[in-house]
Amino acid sequence: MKPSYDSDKVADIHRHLHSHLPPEPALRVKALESLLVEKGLVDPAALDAWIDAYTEEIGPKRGAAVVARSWVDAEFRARLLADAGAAVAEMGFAGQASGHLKAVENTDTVHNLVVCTLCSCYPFAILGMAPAWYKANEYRARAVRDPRGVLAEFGVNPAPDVAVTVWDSTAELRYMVVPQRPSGTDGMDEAALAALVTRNAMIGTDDLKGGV
Amino acid sequence: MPLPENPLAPLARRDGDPVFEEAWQAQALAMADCMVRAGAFSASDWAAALGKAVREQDDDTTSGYYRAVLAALETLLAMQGAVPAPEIEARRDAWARAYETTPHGHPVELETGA
Repeated sequence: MKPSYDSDKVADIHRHLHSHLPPEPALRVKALESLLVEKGLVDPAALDAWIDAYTEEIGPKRGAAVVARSWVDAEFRARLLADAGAAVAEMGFAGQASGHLKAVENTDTVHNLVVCTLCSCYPFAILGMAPAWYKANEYRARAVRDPRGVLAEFGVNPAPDVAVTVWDSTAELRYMVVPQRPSGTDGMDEAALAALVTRNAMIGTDDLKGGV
Repeated sequence: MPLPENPLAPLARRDGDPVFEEAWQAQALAMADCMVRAGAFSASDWAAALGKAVREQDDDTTSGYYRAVLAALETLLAMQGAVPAPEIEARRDAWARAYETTPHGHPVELETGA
C-alpha cells in the first residue's frame, strides 16, 4: 500500500473534523451530477433507479437462475452456449442484460476464468456488480500470467490434465462461466440448484466443489 | 468455503469486500453507465477511458478504482465538449462554498446562478 493513501485518509479525516465539507471525490461527483442533470445529459430518475437496483444488490441471482436452467434443460443449455444474449432474454432478462454476452462452459477437460485486462468489463446486468478483487490491477495482471496461481488462491485446483482457459472481456463481449453441476444434486429442482450457484463460480474462481 | 488466511493471497482476501464503500462511488458509476446507455458515449470509448484512468491512478484499492471512474468520466465529457473541465471546477467550488456556508441542520443548496 502506498504511504500517500494513508496520508490522504488522514487529510480527509482532518477535513471532516473541521468542516462538513464532503471528501474531494464526493464533491466532484456532486458537481458533475448537477451539471449533467442541468444539461439534460442524464435523467435523475434513471440515476436513482440505477443506484436502487445495483446497491440493493440485484447480485448474481439472474446469472444463477440461468446456470441452474442450463443444468436441468439440455436444449436451453445448447441455446445458451450458442447465443447467450438470446437465451437470457428468453428468461426475461432482456435489454441491457442480454447484449454482447457469451457463456463458456466448464467441462471435465476445461476450466474457464474470466478477466478484463483493460479495465473492468463485466456482465453486471446478469451477475450484479463486479467484486472488488475483479477490478484490482493485481487480478487483471495475474489472471492472464498465472491463472492456476489465482485459482489456487480461491481454493480452485483444476487437475493438471484440465486446461485452464482465460477469457478477456471487452466492452463488446462479456463472458460468464457456466460451472459444472455439483455432484449429489440429482433430486434438486431449479430453484434449489440456483441457490448453489455463486458469483465467483460464474467468473471461474469457484468450482462449487466446496460441498453441497 | 473457508478463505485462505495466507497473506500471499491478496485477491482471495478481498473476496467479500463491499462493492461500494461510499455513496459517491455508486453515483460515479451510475452516471457513467447511464451515459453509455443513453448513447452519450460508446461502451468501447468508456472502457478505453477507464482503462487509461486506472493505469494512471496507480492505486489498487476500491477507492482508487472509483477515483479512476470519476477521472475517466470527467476526461470523456471534457473531450466531447459536453462539460468542459473549467465548468466542473467552478461547479465543484460552488458546492464547496455552499457546504462551508450552510449552517448545520439546513439542506445544502447551490446559490442560484452558480
